[in-house]
Amino acid sequence: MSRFLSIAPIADIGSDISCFSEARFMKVDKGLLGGSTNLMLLSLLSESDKYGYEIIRELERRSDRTFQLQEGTLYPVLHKLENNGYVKSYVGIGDNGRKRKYYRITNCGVQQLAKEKKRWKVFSVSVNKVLGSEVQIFG
Amino acid sequence: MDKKESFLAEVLCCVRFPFDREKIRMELENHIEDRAGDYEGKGSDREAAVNLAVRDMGNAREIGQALNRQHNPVLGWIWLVTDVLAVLMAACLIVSLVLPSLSSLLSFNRLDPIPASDIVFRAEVDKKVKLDDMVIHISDVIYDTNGDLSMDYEYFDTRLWGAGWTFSNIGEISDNLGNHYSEGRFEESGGFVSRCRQIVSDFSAEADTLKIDYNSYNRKYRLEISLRAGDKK
Repeated sequence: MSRFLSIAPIADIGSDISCFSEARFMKVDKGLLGGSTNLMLLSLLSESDKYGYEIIRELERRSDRTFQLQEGTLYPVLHKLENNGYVKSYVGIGDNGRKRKYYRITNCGVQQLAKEKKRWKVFSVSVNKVLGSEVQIFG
Repeated sequence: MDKKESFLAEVLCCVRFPFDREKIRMELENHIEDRAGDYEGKGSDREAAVNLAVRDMGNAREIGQALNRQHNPVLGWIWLVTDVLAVLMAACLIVSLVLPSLSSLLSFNRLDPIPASDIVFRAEVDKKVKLDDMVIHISDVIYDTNGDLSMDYEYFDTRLWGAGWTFSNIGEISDNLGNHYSEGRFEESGGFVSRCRQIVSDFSAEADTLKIDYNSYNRKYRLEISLRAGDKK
């Protein structure tokens, strides 16, 4: 738990995400996104094997383009997940006949996903509690 | 060089482990092509679509440096060397253990047959003795025109990883006339099942029984083989 709250393990590159709001881009703080990058990627991969561009498109679609990753930064994050044993890659042939590097979540990754979800729940509840008290103070 | 190529080159020049560069290149190039395809679908021309796709990728140097951290050259080389060593060791194991065992099991290590024209008679014997974990099977006794008597036998250890010692002395050779034979020679074709030929010189043509007495290391056996029952040639 302390690791999550203190800093994100893959924040250095995986957090370069812009937040699109009211037709303006706003940089989101690294620390906020670092921990959730693992969570989001593992969660997407737990549904089905995907290649990098599929992941990007799915992230965009589900977040209504809130999360717009600098797309190349996805790959060091995926490779780190693979080095940690959370995902495994393999080369398959995509719809257009082009070679694709797919990522599949491992058993270890599934366990990690469960941990990350739990951490995220505790984190978001805690943040909301703090915001709630701020609202009372400053509202 | 177009923008895509210069982007890929800049990323890959940061990755110090050369054997991973091609896979990284394939992955990033596919991504750019997919994104460019989407832009083309929305009406951009090819060049503009590729340029936009490259822009969306982000900073090539930062991506390359981050990838380099995940493709550590030291670990990469250790992995590569151990991988190659593992393959070599497996190959050595196959060459030194599996192939000889297979060849002996599949009877590729047969001894040179004695030419039929040299055989006076052949006795097909099927005698088995067991010494500890070693099984010795005497299969043929052949008397040839030179007066040599050849005893073909095979032996193997019943344990998978046996002691591996050579069984080159099947015992003292004598006949029913009281002659003892110590002169001769020995041939062996090794393997999981070793095939051997013990040959004694000047065996008596009058003898009709071959006697083999083994008495070594407190182990004994005695075999009597009728030679007159053999197939006369």
